[in-house]
Amino acid sequence: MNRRALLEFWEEFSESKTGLAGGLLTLLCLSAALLAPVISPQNPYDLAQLYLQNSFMRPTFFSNWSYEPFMLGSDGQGRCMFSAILYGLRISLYVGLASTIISAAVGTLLGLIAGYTGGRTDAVIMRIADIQLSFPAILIALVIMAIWGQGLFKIIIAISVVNWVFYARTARGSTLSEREKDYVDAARAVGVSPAVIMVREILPNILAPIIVIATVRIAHAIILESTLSFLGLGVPITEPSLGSLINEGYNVLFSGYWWITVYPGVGLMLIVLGINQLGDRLRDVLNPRLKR
Amino acid sequence: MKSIKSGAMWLFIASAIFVLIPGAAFSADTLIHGAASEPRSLDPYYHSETPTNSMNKNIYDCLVDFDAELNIHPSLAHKWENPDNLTWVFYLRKDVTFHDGTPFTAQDVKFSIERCKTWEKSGFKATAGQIQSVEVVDDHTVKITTKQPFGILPRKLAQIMIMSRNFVEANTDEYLTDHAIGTGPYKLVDWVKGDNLTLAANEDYFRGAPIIKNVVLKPLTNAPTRTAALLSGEVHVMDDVPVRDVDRIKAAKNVSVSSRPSLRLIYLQMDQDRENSPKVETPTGKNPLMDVRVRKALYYGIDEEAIVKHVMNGFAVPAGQLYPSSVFGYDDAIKRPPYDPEKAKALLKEAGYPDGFGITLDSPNDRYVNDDKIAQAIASSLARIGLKVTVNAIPKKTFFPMTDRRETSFFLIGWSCADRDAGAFLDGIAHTYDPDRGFGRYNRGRYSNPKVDELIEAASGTVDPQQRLECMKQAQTMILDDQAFIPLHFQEDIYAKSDSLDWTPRADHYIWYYDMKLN
Amino acid sequence: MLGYLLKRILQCFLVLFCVSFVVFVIMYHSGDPVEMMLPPEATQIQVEELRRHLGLDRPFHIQYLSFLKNALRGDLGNSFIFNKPAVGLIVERIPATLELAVSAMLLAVIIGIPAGMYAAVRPGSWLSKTIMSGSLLGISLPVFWLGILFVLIFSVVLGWLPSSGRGETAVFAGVRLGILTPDGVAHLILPAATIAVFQLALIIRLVRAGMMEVLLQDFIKFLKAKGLSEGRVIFIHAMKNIMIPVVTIVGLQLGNIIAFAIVTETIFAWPGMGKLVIDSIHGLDRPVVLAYLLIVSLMFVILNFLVDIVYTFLDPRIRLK
Repeated sequence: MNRRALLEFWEEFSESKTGLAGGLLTLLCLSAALLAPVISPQNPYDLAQLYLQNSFMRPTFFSNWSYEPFMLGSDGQGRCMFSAILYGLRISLYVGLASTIISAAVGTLLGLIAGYTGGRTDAVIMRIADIQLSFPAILIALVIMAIWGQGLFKIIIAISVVNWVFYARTARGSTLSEREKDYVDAARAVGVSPAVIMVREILPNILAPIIVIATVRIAHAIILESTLSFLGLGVPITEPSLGSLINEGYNVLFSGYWWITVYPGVGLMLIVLGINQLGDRLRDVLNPRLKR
Repeated sequence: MKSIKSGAMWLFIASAIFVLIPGAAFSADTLIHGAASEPRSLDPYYHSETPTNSMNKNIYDCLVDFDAELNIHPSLAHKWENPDNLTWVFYLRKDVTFHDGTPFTAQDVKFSIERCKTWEKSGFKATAGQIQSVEVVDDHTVKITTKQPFGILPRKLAQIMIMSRNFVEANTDEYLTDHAIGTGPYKLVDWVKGDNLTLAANEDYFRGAPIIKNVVLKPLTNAPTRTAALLSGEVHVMDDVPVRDVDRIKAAKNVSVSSRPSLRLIYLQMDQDRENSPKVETPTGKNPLMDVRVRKALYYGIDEEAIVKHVMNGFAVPAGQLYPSSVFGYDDAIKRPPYDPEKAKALLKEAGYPDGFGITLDSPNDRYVNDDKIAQAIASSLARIGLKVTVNAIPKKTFFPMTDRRETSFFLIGWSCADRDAGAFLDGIAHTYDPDRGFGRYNRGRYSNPKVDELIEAASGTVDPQQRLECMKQAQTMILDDQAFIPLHFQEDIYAKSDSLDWTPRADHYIWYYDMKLN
Repeated sequence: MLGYLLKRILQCFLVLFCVSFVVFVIMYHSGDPVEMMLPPEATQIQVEELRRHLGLDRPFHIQYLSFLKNALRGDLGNSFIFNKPAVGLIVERIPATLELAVSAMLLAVIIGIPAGMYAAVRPGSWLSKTIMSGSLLGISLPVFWLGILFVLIFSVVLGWLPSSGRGETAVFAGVRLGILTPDGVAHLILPAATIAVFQLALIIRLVRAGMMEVLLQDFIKFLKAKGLSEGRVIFIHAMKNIMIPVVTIVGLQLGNIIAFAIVTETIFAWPGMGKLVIDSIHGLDRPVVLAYLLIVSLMFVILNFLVDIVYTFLDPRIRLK
């Protein structure tokens, strides 16, 4: 990965306006999430700051354009929607990134081992992966969370459990083709141990497809977390994520309080859209088959 | 391309026409009830639960009935007397038949009560608990013997529905779950689980044929859906109106809201008898809830008025005691003290917790009106007096066993004195836990005060109502002084109905279609 | 070929067996159903009686074996809540879920394939760009939020379509279907559209990507040089080549739709399997959740198997092995 390669990559990447827009959007959401404690008018997770007297207030932003608490309205417990959305974005990104990193690490490692070692190990790992893949992902996560109960840590683990197979399969496939290459033979001939070969030689060369998978799966992870929270099986209700907020809003939708479900959904849509646009462009750039 | 375009246009027109044709046009003789919960079983003893009991009460009758205000009236038994204080003789009506035409006799009563007591899946064993034996004197006379003098036996019999012995003996338990033969005003026509339960009038009902000839119960467990169905005219009546929808329904034409105070108290229980409580975090590690000052601090530190106003939308009454005014045992001298966070903080400091402590509030999230939102609001309130409260809101099926296993320190729960007598609360919750004698079954916090126990036992041993009232009032005053529980509010039952329906709600949340009239 | 098929069938059984075991283990450890079947007043003796009656006091392996024995006969126990066979409860609701899933998939395919093809053939046009932006939006919208938006716009604000339930149904060949009545169709539109949007976007992107790859290949240039009309080239030759991945995805996604239907059914109170399973999870109704997981696994396995078979027939490379 030298400077010239990176520069070339950037040039090609920035050819697409949607790609750039996606990147910008993602960056925006990321910064909003990181800076949430600083820029939110209220800390919606601090129960002492919530007053019932402020519940169900209507959004005021579009009528008086001022940056104040409750500018996007408030929910049933008195949380400022704008603050809750920022903190919710935080959770979404945190869960998305953490689960992706964990499942990518575990999956890639297992796929690497399976592909390189072959034989029994390969058969066992892939058999487990196949079995898990013949099961709808959402059900696995659902059952895990239903048994285990709500919790931020728990949902990260549940989503990681669901996603590791995708990385494992890709890593294994790439490892299989890398394994036959000369540089691996050379390392083996010199007497380098298999573990070192796998990590130092092969791993860097299979990262590209892993990253491509990751860009797809991270969006899935974010949506999965919000779906589970929507169903009441995700994060606890006192620290709501975007999905929990949408659920709360849905229950009062017919009473006319639409902002509680609509705005968090917009936030969720923006971050997923950003990641998808970014991921799309990344994949196009990294895909050799579209090169003319 | 052109043919595709015009095809699409026709499709659009066709769908528009379909949409504009009104939905199910039911006959004027059919009542549609949008229910918050589907009944569990048409076998009346399977599970004692309000929605199930409510439906079954339309199909079956009991020896006696509660009226809308829970006073006892004759039903299948037209008269009864006590030859001695352990014996009751009930004289049964002679003009009653089951839905399949067979006559109702004393054998059915004996069979029913015994099944209620001995069937392994019976959820009513405790209801029949005081009944020692049932004897058939003749075809229309039954003698019931109780284990101890039990003045409120009729109130228990009003909950035991009479089944047809022939029908039950001829069929499996599974069959009885969704087939029913009773003596009641309605017969079962069909039950498509999750979709509809249809009843037809029993023209030979002993009180006279019902006015409404057909009833369909539609389970609409999702609250917004239920409200939408009422507003669009798809149902005539709905129960458990979400508090947030009341204004919208009131504003709509042709529908109206009727609410009535229920018997249910929502309150908090606290772990009071052990040093190590599972969900408390203090610097010393000891259980702060054992100190009455801490318990009182919690009481003063909860802004109940705000909860009633903002979470319950006004549809609750702040409670200063353990049962509402319609229950025998109520003491109108007791008033709820006002919200006082400063006093709460002072009490905490005095008890040795100037910086508060950490605690988990457990709550169901699908049992009582807005239960998890109440819990969150309490957590906020207590956060302002320095406590760090975590809310754990879980489904009732996990919640109740957890409280029984005492894996909680502090939880939200409700109680309804279903037979309108405070004895139920005092015996079952406030008395020291003594399962062999049948006391304190729900005293999960293990509150124990021997003087209170004496008063409670004195009350349940007397038959003289004045004396009972005195004992119960004294007991309650002591219980509240000890702050054994933190009463929050009394729920209101909110119903909504189409203006074409004449009906007033009952106190026990049962819905009797026999009482209804459709214009 | 036969060997391959047999191997796949064996794999199916293996999967089902593993799933049943894992699920059983989980449910076994997930809480005591007896306590919540009886009212709180039940004494300890009554609790023990019921536990014995349900066979819940036997050791784990005996319970599992008996469970397997019964499962092979189609008996997965009775629902703790409804006291009826769990399998029956799920199977009763399969038509509703399938009706929703198939309608959504049909909608997605009928609109998606032509749209994707158009976007590939005329990539520069305004319509293509709109289609692609739309598809990007489509896969970024969480299904449950889209459903809520539809309800908000079409039911609450405009009042055009009903927001919940299945409406009137008619029985056809022993199966209750809502699509046969106008009221049923009205109730089907929003939930089916909610699911269809994501699938539509997926199909458009897939078809476009596949089509673009195919169109770059030499044999297309050859066909065009031979003088074939563009229509023939696209609709017959190019399309054949993208059918394999499309069919694969449609088949696999159908399984996913059935699973994800849980969310849509919850929002629209659609009386299918998904809604039942969410209620059962919250109600700790073990047999129903178990039955659901096994039945859905079975469906998934069958679908994958069918997709494999179709794939085998479509892809000459495998056929000739």
